[in-house]
Amino acid sequence: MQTLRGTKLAIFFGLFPALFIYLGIAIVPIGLSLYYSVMNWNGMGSMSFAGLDNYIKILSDDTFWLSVKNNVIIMVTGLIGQIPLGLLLALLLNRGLKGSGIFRTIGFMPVVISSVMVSLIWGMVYNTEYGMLNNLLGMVGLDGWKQNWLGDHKWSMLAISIAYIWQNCGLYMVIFLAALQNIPDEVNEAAELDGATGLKRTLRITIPMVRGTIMVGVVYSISNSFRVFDLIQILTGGGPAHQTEVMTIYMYNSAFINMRYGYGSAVSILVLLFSLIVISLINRLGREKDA
Amino acid sequence: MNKTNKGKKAVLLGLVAMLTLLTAACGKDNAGGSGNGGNGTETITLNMMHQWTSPNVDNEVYKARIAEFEKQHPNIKIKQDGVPAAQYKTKLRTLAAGNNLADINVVWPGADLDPLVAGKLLEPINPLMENWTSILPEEALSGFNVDGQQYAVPTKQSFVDIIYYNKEMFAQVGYDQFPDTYDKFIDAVTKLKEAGITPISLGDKEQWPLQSSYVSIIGDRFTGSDFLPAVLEKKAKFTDPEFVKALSVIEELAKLGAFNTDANNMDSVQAQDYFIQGKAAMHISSSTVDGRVRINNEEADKFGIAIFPSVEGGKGDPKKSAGVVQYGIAIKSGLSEKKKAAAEEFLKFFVNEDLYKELIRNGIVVPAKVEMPEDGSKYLEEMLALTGNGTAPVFDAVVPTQVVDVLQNGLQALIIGQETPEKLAQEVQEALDELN
Amino acid sequence: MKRKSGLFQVFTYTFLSLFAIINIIPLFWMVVNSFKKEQEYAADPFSFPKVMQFSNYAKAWEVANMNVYFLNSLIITFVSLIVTVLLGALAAYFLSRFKFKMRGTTYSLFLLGMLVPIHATLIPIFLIMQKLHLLDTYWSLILPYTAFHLSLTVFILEGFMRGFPKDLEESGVMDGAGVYRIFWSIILPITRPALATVIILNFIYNWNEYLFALVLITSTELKTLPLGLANFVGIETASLTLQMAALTIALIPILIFYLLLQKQLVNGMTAGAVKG
Repeated sequence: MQTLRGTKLAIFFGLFPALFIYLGIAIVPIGLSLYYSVMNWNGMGSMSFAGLDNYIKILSDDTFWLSVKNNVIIMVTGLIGQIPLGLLLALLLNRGLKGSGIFRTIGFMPVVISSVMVSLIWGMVYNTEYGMLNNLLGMVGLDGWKQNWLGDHKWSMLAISIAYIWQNCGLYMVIFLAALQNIPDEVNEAAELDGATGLKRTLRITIPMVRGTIMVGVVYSISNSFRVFDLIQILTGGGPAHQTEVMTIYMYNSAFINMRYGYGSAVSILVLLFSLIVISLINRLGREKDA
Repeated sequence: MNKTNKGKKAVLLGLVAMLTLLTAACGKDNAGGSGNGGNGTETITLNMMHQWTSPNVDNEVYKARIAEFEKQHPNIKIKQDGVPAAQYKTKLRTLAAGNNLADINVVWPGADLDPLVAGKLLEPINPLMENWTSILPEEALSGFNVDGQQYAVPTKQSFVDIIYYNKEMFAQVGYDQFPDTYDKFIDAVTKLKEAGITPISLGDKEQWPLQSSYVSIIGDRFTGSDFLPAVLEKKAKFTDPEFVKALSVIEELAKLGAFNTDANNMDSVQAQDYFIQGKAAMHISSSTVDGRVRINNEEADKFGIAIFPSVEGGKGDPKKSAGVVQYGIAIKSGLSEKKKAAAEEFLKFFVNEDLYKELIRNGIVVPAKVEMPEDGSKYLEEMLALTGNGTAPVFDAVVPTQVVDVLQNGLQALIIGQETPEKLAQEVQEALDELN
Repeated sequence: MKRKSGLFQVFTYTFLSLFAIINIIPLFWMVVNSFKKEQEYAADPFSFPKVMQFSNYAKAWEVANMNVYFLNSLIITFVSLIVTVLLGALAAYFLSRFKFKMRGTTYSLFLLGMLVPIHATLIPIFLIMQKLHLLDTYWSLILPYTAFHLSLTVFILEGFMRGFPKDLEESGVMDGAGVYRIFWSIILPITRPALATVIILNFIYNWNEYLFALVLITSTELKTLPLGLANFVGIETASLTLQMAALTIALIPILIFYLLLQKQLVNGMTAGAVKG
């Protein structure tokens, strides 16, 4: 049916409205950013051509590489934390347990609330003097474990990662749950006839059935980790002394605080580039396994 | 899927199709509306962007003033755009990028104003200045003056270096008065620490406190007030020993354990609370904070105010306090004659003696020479006496933001021992050199 | 499934309960604090209010200008949501179920939008809206919300639709139904769990969006809720308990919306039109 002439037209009309809005509003700004990234511009008044100067300066700035490192930490901990935990929760909740609706709702709560609230909440958890975490450690007699969670560079990125995982885990739970729901009953019944039950069935049959969706989750998790901003901006402001800065914060500070808009645009192009590279690598890996 | 459901979906689809089609048309309709308010009729609409959204006393005063203006000028409407303070500059800069400022804007002096002037986005207001010559001193206006052209008039004065201290705690370690030399100050800090009291509550998460409230005045004590302008003219350097000494003071305080351990993660408001609850002996912040510390606090008499003590061999005047004028009101360039006239009318009305008096009545320091009203707060009187002996410049009001950014991050590193004063001074100087 | 071992059951419930507690405790304190006086909160964030300050909610409603902003947020959120999901689902359908020349390119293009750091687009979007004369209108938010969330919508839905068995449309084709008919009555119904997911996500993102709303809207009559929620924090001062009250109010519509949709999340194939 794909070769019918009418179908071609249908495809065009089906894709056109989405593409039209998308290209005009989402892709044009990327083009503009690319243009500004080779300019010297403070955001006001005249600009001048700078060639690759901005890129060269960025790539030779230690602070930028620190922010890249922090992004990688968020990406890796995000992948390790969110995807397996989300999948585990989805698998457990897919079993039709009593009260699973309530657990599902509560599990999704952190996704629903705004980043402002998440940051306020985790600020309360990590506070050195009266924070929940240090209080809890004190209560169980582990005073030696108390830390300045967000101020000490040994702990700060880990602390942020945990808040980040907390905020997003429910999202992956829901995405995976939706996929699990679509596994036809016949598959499960067939598996049962073959004697595959419990863990074996989950590993051999259920998970492969939702592999596509897991890939969706992985890619989305990576793209999100490169764009994380609000949570860190409110929780630590990227500090102390750039220790928790990520690329988007570095970009924002360059463009809007230090008024080097061209430079900031170049950073944003690099963010785009880096996430593209990682995602195409992941996609290739995924495809190789397919073969 | 039943029929009613399908029906609903069809309706929705239709709705969306309509909306999508309308997009273009709607755009054209609105083009005239938002751009130019006064369409030849009697009423003139002026857009004004400000950051007076939070429920503060001075914000209420400003808003009441705008309402009063509209009442007295029925043919001029002020359309306000209140932008949350933390993102005000982001919005201002985005609008500036599109050459699309509001008709009336709130702007900051010095380094923040320069790019707006360079981009020719603001209208000089020289012809109006005779309105304020009698009440506003030269110093209050100079921050908004670029190459002899005046671009804004300030509404509020802020002294950024006020040391709020807990009298009881200081008495406890043998100080009935706030120490007047640096050595005594350090002695007090040491004794407070020994007594198990956090000497200074600091909340530097937003990074401005150490730079603005600390380095501005400590720097001035060592270098004198001519230093920062001289650095900008390349006649002095941040690496000069006087400035490095100033940074060393912060390092010394950190090493003494003068600050709370999570100084880099508390925000300034949390640090205030910490002090007000009696968990620390001092808090250094702006004069505006007195509203929370004393003016609206039942236990106000526990707290005293002071400025940073004199330092040995310092070139600065130890009586000076670091101050900056705030909230300059500026008019956008290129307005039509009618709108420009209306905006000037507004400016004259908004920033006048009545506004300053009203602010004083609410405990706010103003840059103008106006008489203290009878019912004024005694705390404000004390504040004015403390800060009335000469004004030192505030670091970020003079130095370009890129350089300020380097200093602020360095200060955060300095208080956790990851940076030395010498190295920081060098980095700040390099950041400045790179600009030119 | 019918033979659940008791031990496994215990483990599952313990794990889920622990997870639930970690999720709910912080929110619980948030709500508790929203009923406290500012001074009470400053003194100890983990105490219970001596007297419940219901007036916090009235004051928060007023400071955040919710009378006006609430409705604006609802309108902008829903219009963007409907446009995004409909256009996105249609695009995902063609991208996943058909082969045509530019398929790969188009798909990659949509993916790109998921990778753009949103702050970088602020000034470009502002300039575009200025050119289109759309600044300070609902459309100046609806268009970027739609455009940027189309990526995620297409991405998730495409991933789902691709997983359906290849012979799914055949019965439709036999009946002589057109491609749109098949989309509407065969594909969409079984995509329901994923649709519910993207609808909820779109709702959340639109409802909480702050940055575009900040710069693109200047009229008080058109501003959205997140702008109001930021009204509580000045540079040197803040009213945190009021802010928490406002945040709690803002949470209610999303919660209601989620609860309404959550049945759809788990009513996959079983409720769909397709059986065999």
